[in-house]
Amino acid sequence: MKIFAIIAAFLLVVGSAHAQGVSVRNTTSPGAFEIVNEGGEVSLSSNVQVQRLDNGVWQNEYTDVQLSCSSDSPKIPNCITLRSGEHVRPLPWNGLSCGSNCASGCRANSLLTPGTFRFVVVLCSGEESFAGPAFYMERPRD
Amino acid sequence: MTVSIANNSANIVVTQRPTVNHPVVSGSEMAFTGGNITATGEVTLNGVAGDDASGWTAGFIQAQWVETNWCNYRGQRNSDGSIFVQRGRPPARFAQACRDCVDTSPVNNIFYNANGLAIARGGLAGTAFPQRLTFNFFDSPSETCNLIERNSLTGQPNYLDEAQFEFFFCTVLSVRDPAGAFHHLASFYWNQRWQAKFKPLTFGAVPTFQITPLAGTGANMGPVIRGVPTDVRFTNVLTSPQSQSCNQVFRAARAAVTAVGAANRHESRVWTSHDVRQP
Repeated sequence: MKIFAIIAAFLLVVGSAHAQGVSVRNTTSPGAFEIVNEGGEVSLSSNVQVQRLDNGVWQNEYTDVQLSCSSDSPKIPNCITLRSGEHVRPLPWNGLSCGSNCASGCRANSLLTPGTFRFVVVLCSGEESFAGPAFYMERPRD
Repeated sequence: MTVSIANNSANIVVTQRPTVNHPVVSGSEMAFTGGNITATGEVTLNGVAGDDASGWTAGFIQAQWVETNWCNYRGQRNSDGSIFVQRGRPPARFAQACRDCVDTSPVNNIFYNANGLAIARGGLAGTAFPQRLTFNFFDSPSETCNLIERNSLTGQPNYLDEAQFEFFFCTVLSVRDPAGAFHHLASFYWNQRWQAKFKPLTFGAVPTFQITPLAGTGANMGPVIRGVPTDVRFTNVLTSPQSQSCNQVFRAARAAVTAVGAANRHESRVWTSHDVRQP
């Protein structure tokens, strides 16, 4: 099953996915990613959608992955503007549904790995979304 | 013969015990995290050929029965004032006990997590007996508090001075029969506790801190207890209708202390000590 998922992920997308100048790239390790704007200025929702490949169909997962972890203000902005040529490298997703990449309060929490996933970012206007390449993420070792 | 739960067949094996990490600065917040706690549960259904066990569901139910949650802030100078925020007492938090469910599992589904491998269902008619049902438990609680709160009385930033968080849980292996009745078969208690003093080393928008964990910081768990839980501190929330899960309860409490003048937010013009047991 895992091998199938890896092959499916490889066949689906390799490298990076981009459209209209915004590309979502996987980086150093599963769950690490960056957004690069190679076009004109864009405003992106700070909420990042994590999707799981389930029987060949991408399904939304419930997480709180953010583009920015609010280093200098008490509230995470709803939108993040990227000028032409700018990139943002969020903290990696840890596989959890709560506290997914930024510090957060959680009581019940769930581990969404293992599986094949991808990140999707959305324009603040909601008019367009940009999906990254698939990646396989293991369950962490006990 | 109808389908039944085999006597003494329920078992819980905790595969990762709870732990806590030292608090760390994360952006504009102090983060209190811990390791994952994981467990597996199993139970056996008996029946005879042709019996339909598809209406039986096994999984975990979790109650949180203690929440300590307060943060104290002090200005750089006595005249900058202090703030105490109490997120673990009424009216910010209406009760201690709540039923804990992951955010994708509505609280009135009862089970802690009604998704994927967290629950197991009996087989359709034709499935052989006995049927061994196995299912998983996972949790990773955490909490945060702001590094800085602005004191509305002095207009000055007040810096995190001390905080305490305690989360006590009881996780119950339970089977729901086709009539909707729950059969609690085994349980275990566990907790995570953080308390620390914070001494600002630099002030400003992103302060740095000397962090000193205090005695009592840690995590623990008890043995697996067989039978129906009888602890009145939380048994009333195990399967009763609830308006909010624990995640929703604590998020509401956090929101309730942010506004100036909120009942559980105590601002002072000078450094003040508060009774942390009080709202």
